[in-house]
Amino acid sequence: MPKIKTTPPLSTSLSRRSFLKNAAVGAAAFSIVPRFVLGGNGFIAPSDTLYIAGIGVGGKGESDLTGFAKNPKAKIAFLCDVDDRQAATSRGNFPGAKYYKDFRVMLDKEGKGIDAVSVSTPDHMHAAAAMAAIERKKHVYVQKPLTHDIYEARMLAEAAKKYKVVTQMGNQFGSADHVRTAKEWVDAGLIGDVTRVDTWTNRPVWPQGIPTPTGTFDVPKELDWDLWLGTAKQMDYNPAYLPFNWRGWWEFGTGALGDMACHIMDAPFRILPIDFPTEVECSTTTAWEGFFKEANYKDACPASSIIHLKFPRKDGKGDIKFTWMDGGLLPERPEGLLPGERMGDTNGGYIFYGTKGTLMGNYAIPPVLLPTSRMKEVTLPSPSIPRIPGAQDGHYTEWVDACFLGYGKKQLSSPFEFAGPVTEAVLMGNLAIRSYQLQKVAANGNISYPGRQKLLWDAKNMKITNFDEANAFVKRDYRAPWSL
Amino acid sequence: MDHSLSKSVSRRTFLRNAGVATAFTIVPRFVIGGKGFRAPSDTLYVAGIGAGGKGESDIAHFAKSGKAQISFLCDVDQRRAATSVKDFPNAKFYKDYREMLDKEQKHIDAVSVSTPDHNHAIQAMAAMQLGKHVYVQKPLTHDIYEARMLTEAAKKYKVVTQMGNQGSSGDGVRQLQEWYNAGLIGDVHTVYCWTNRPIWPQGIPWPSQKAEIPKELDWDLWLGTAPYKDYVEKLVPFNWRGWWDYGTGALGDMACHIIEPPFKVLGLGYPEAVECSVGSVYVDEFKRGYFPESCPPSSHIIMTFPERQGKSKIKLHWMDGGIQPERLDELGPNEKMGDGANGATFIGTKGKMMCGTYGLAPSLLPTSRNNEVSIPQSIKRVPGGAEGHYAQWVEACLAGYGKMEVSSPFDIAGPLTESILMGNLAIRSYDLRKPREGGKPDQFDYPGRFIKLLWDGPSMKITNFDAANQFVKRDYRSGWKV
Repeated sequence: MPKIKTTPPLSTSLSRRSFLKNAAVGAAAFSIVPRFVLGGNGFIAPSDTLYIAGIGVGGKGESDLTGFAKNPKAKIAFLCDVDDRQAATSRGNFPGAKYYKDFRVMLDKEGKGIDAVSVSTPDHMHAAAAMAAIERKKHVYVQKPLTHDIYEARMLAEAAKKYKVVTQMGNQFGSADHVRTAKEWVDAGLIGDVTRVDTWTNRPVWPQGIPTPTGTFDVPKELDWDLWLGTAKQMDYNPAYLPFNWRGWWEFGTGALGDMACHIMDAPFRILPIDFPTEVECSTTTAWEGFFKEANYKDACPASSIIHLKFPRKDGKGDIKFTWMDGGLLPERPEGLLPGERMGDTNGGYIFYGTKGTLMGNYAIPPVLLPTSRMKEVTLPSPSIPRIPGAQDGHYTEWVDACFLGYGKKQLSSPFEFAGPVTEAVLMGNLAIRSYQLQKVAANGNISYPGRQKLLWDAKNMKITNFDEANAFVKRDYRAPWSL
Repeated sequence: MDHSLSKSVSRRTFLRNAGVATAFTIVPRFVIGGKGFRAPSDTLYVAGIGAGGKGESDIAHFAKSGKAQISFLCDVDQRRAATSVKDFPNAKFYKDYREMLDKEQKHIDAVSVSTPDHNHAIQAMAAMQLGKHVYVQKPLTHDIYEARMLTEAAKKYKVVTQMGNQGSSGDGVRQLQEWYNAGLIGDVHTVYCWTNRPIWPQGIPWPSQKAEIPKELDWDLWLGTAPYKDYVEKLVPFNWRGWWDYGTGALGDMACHIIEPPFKVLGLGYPEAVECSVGSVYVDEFKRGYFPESCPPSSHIIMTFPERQGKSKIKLHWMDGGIQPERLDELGPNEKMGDGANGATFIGTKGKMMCGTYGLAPSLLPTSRNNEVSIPQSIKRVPGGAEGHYAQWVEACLAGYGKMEVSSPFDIAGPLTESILMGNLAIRSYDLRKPREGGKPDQFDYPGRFIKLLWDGPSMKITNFDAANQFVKRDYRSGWKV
């Protein structure tokens, strides 16, 4: 398909958007001018409404939009989805919102009427959609994981700074009270210096480690398959991928890590002095297509995996050994957990092992010190970190408020400067898995797996230094004409 | 079937008595000689139950010792027995081991059992009750209870026993033992073991399509203690090991080889606790596959062994199905951990060591340490190493009970097998489900998950989750008992 000509991202006219920012930066004293003051027929009040365009408006996109709309200042002005079926509910919810199929067309045509963009597409389209919005200086809210590739996460984080837009990743529990409570306890020294973190999830709760779907199918009339594919490689439509299962296929999704790690690894990232890992290794449950015949389902994310990451503590107090397990696998139960006590919750959990104690929790449950009897023995610090109004539900409305105030004016829970490194760490797990899946067939037919080793990461240069093939997974090639 | 001990002075009892009266040791055949006379003391008359696959190679190894004669072969599947029947043309062939033991007991000194796991115990027990020495393939048994019974029977009937984990006769485990005894790695608190098994599909539905029973196979005898099921394709000769009714999964296949070195070196006994998780199987979005007949595609087992004579509590991790423990920091980037696909690592207060399957390639860590230390050999090696495992048993049988040390007698192999089967008990408890109270028909609770099971070893009982105890001892199909 031909590349769509896009307008220059920065408008020179005094758009509503730039007015909005200027108002926020300059005239903070009188704050928001309510619509009725400026009023008048046909006049669109610039400062009392955040005009939001939603890209990907079904599923999580649907609930994100209703989350924003709870803030009376937000107006869902445009909807965009490549699949009319997915868009149906949101279109019903926001009948005044003009509907597009192609976000490029929408941004081109409606750029001036959009203040902020919400991206909730399959993972492989996050970066392309978010970057297009950021380059037009739209504030963005992007579902987790921020991106499909490490490189994309780095680019978005840099772009957010460059274009000075307000950003938030959709890991809403980053706004929850629980993680703030846990941080207060760790900061108070209740578990000493953390040296090890175990995390896990029950995901995937859909089939992974399976053969690539085959067969020929008619594309449903409601779906623009070419737009859905977007940056992904050309392939025939297959119903196996839509609307949900794309997440178990590398071409589109990011597996169990992509689904849950941004939630579960949020706490360690928010609490501990870590950003980029230096090492990663993994192993996965092997898929067997027959007796003694290992399957090579390289398109599929694995049924379960174990990832080990090493993070140097930024305070110089050594390294943190970080483990992730998914697909049903669980880390060892902590010594302090009694035989009948539940470890984490249904979705998984995190355990911090410190020099002076152990802390367990998950994003949607309060943290506990282990053994749990310790909760009665220690004096827990009183809350010192400001809570987000509405906690996890406030994640959406806070972003709306921050967009009004303008870049740099209001601290959000998951701006890209935070969400970018979290996502990169999550995707390091996937890089390790995909390296692990790499098969080499020798001339004599012998199969080897050269990527089944520890990988060393040069985060600054975004490069695996001891196994070059792994670098193919830092940044994928987009299908023409797509670019970041 | 009731087997009673023969009252007559059989060759076997002669053999045992000969062994006890070691003064005149073995009388070579040619001294006694004479037509039709079978020298009792220089030849071990072995009957093989399960004569294909590993049974075939076990039998060939006994014969290679030069002191054993394969006198009887027994297999429920003539196709499986074909090679052994050809290799030992004079060995009389039976389909039913009970019939063979009944009719030929006076001509059998020792029995080798290499059947599917679910029949090990009944066959070994029947042989021991007749006072026959036994060699039983790993894992010793299918159930914990059976392992305990065999261990006790070996003592009661004073028979020479050996489990077929031949690596236990290798030099590697002895080298590890010497390093550990010398204090090179201090007090061990953590052990990691792993295997690439299963290298066949597990976590799959039972192939419900009934198939024609091959004419060479006695399906009823093959089923033995297992509940009756219609014959299905490809279950024999190999696939049975991934199904709980017959096999013991990845643990059963490899743990006797991989956990043996730490078990032996550290002097472990019964674990006191076990926890597990398994790689889940999803058949559709949010729809978990529930295949309780099938062993899981991967599992992570953690067993706790109690403090022993001033030695720390030990956490022993087992991982299978492709998942592996974290690489040790002491390993160079290009150094293999274990043998890559399988291995064991020992983490002590003063150092670490590792080995591959069978205790092969023992190494201190970092590997440079191997060149820096020199511990004098203090433990006798088995002649031929792992390959000598078979001859060692043959010789010990000839020498008689209690006369010669073997590498894997049931008093070691029994508790080792029990520990391995504790992993399976945990996995099967993990899979237990019951309808959720007040839930929809497809909603279930899994009460055996997310808890730690506490084990009372002497009483063979899980003390905090009674439902798990059904996996200590299964019910045999009627007509069979241990």
